Amino acid sequence: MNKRKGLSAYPYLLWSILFIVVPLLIVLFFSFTKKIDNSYVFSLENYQKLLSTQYLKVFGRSLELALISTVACLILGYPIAYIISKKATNKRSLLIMLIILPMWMNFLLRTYSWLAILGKNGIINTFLIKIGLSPIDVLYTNTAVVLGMVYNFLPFMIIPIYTVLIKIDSDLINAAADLGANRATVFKKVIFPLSVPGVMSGITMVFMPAVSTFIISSLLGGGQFMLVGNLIEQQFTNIGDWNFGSAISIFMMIIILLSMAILSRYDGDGSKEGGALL
Amino acid sequence: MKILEKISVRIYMFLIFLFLYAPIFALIVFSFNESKSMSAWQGFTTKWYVELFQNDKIIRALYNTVVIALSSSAIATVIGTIAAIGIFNMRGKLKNALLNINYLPVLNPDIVTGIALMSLFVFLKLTFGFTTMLLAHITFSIPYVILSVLPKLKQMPPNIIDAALDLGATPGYALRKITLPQIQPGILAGFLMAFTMSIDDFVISFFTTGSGVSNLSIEIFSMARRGIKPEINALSTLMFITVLALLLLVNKKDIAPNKKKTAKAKTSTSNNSNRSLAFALAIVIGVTALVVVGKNQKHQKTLNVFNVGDYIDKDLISKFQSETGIKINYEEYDTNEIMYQKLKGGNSDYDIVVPSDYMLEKMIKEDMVEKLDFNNLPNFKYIDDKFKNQSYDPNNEYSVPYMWGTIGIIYNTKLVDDTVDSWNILWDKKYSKQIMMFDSIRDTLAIALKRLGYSMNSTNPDEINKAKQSLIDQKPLVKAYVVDEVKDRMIGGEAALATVWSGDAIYMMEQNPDLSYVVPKEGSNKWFDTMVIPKGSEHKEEAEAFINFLMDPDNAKQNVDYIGYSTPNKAAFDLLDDETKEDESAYPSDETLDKCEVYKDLGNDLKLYDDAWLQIKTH
Repeated sequence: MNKRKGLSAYPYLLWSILFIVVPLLIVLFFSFTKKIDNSYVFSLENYQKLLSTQYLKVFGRSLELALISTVACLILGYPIAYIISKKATNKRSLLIMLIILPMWMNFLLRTYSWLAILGKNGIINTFLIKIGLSPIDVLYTNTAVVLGMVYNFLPFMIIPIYTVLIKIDSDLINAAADLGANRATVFKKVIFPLSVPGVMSGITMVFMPAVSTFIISSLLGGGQFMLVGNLIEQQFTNIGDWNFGSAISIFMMIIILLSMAILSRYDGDGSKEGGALL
Repeated sequence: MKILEKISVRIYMFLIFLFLYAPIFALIVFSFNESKSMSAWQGFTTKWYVELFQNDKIIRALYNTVVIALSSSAIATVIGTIAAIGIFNMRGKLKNALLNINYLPVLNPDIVTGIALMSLFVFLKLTFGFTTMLLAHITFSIPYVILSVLPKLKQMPPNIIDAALDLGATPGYALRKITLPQIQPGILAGFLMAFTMSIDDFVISFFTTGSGVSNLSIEIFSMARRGIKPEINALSTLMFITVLALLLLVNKKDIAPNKKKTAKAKTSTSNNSNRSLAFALAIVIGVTALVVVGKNQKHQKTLNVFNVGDYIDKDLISKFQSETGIKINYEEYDTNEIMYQKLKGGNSDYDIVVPSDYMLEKMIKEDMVEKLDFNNLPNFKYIDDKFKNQSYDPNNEYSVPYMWGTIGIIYNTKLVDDTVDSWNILWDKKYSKQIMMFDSIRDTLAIALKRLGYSMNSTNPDEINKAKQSLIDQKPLVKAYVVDEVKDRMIGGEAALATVWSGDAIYMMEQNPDLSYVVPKEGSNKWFDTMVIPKGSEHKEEAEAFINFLMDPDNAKQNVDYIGYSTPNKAAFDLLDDETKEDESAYPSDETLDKCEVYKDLGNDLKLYDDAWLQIKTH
């Protein structure tokens, strides 16, 4: 095998060109053209349209909600990852399985279920009224969308952090403690810095789907908070302007790849050869 | 201090797990709910479990999901493993390039991968359906396989292969005896990852399927918008129990041997192999079950029917299937526009679609529908003459009317004490956040146009602009823009006022007696939905047989009883009970109907509506 210098990768090379590169090139082509009488003419109109305040606002809102969700996932997820990583081996693998378990159920179902929980006459409000409190009106608001995102993507934050935390050499922690560091210092100076790669892949794995989702916003947002994902989906399903839809997609891709590049600067283990995301 | 810390840690863990599991428990609880709606508890039942196994559509979607997951992850694992070995042996720029390309589907949002593949399939003129979905799943799975196999290859002792070759092993033998066993955990992990990704995928499947092929996610998505069927809750309960049982089983096995091991022994590998074994077992069981199910699914002829959501009595499909032996693939859509895009953009092979008046007009103009052979449609004689030769199909060559109705306001009499007779009430600040509007371009703008006294077919940019502005002004008062979800929400009393189609209104009023429907005095839309055969259908005769079947008076009556809309079928109308015949909601007086307009196809001027709509929605 060695001698043939990776000949066996060539079939996949062809496959990936056909199914990964070419499709993206088609999208790129669409984004720079306009359909006039069944032929495509070069045009920058799609991008010009995209840069109007109206659409930039949509981008702004998507980024804002995705950022809030990512931070919330980090704040909620880090402690859980930490607590679980401190448990005995078999207990912690059970616990982490319990974190992953919900992901094996269809995410649309789980998101839909929130409708029944958050609705005006839903479970939470029925409960609040029973104990004599005033009901809350959360469904079809930004809060519901953020909640849906945090709910769906929290495991994506917990797992990479947990994976990094359990790999930390306990000798390092013991050494720090022996040298007089208290628990807060050990965490600040040893554990947290060592867990940064996990935090970074966690952030990536939450931020990316959050910024591009169109389902959570359409189910829990009631169709009034258009995010980038909805904008793209609308172009391809409802309105049929594939060129504009492609331009939005390319623009979103660039934003995501840029933020990824910035993040990976802080990520010690930015290798593309696997492991980091798994 | 210690105790306090311990308690707070416990509470925190409990809250997080509650957060993660609450929706699942809600689904489980509601799977035993007597009521169809997830809004209220109405008593214990297990009937949904029985209905689940009788629901052909869900079983079919489940079947597709698992077959696609199994085959795509198996193929991806083979291609991915071979590729990983190749990449591992590669050097230089090509290796880097390939790794970068491989990373694209991982980094790219689903939606971009989805539309990119959709564009490719359109370009290649592939028919959307099972094959395209499978290709898409393989494509997004391979990178995960490669990313889990590569690290294992790197962990192999560097000279181990050379040693084997020096000792006389052929490269093939070395691969089989050394490399593969070494990277086996990576391959398995990759397979599982690919399998999980495929099972859970919605977005990419959504954009790459067609021709009546759907998977569970797509099915759930289209249901979620009009109120999940309790059968789906039952299914998720079963799924959850299976996965949980599997997990507990695996863990029980794990814990016993672990206790004997010394602290330093690495347990994770044995965990993994046990787990994989259990998975392999589960998959084998799954496949066997599917083969059994699949055997029952074989029919000679299939008809792909693409209809609006919840728009047929499903019993009629079974009846037609057993009468004729023709199998029906039934797929649903939300709006005319979505159906049109699917037909226009995709190389789909639908045999029957159900466009509304204006959409049919457009499709006829664009040569998208076949002329019907009325010799095959003897039951056309039952259609009331006043519904024949409508403006959208003047010589009645292409279409057969399916249902008709109006648009109006449904309101909850417990929450609204004003008289509802005008569209203006939807702009009344008193009902702020209690109003639900259509999530549909033409319908929503039509309401605004009518309210301002314009025609709903206006192509005057000024008028459209004013309508747009009034909808933007109204936006803060609107609780949500919805299509089919409105039914569940209004039945549950979640909003005071909503715009609806008359047939839905009738269904909703049956479910909740507090609701009432009115066609506002400014006038409204009168619409017709028609059955047509798209160009390129390969089963035209069977499609005509089905259309004829639906025009049979008894069948048409059964259908309209179920759907609740108004039938254009004179013979079926005569069969209805008097109460329905006299119901103003379903069969309004001529005085009301005279004030209603039928949508016209606006040609290129539709762009004005699209732009206005986007501006409303992004505002």
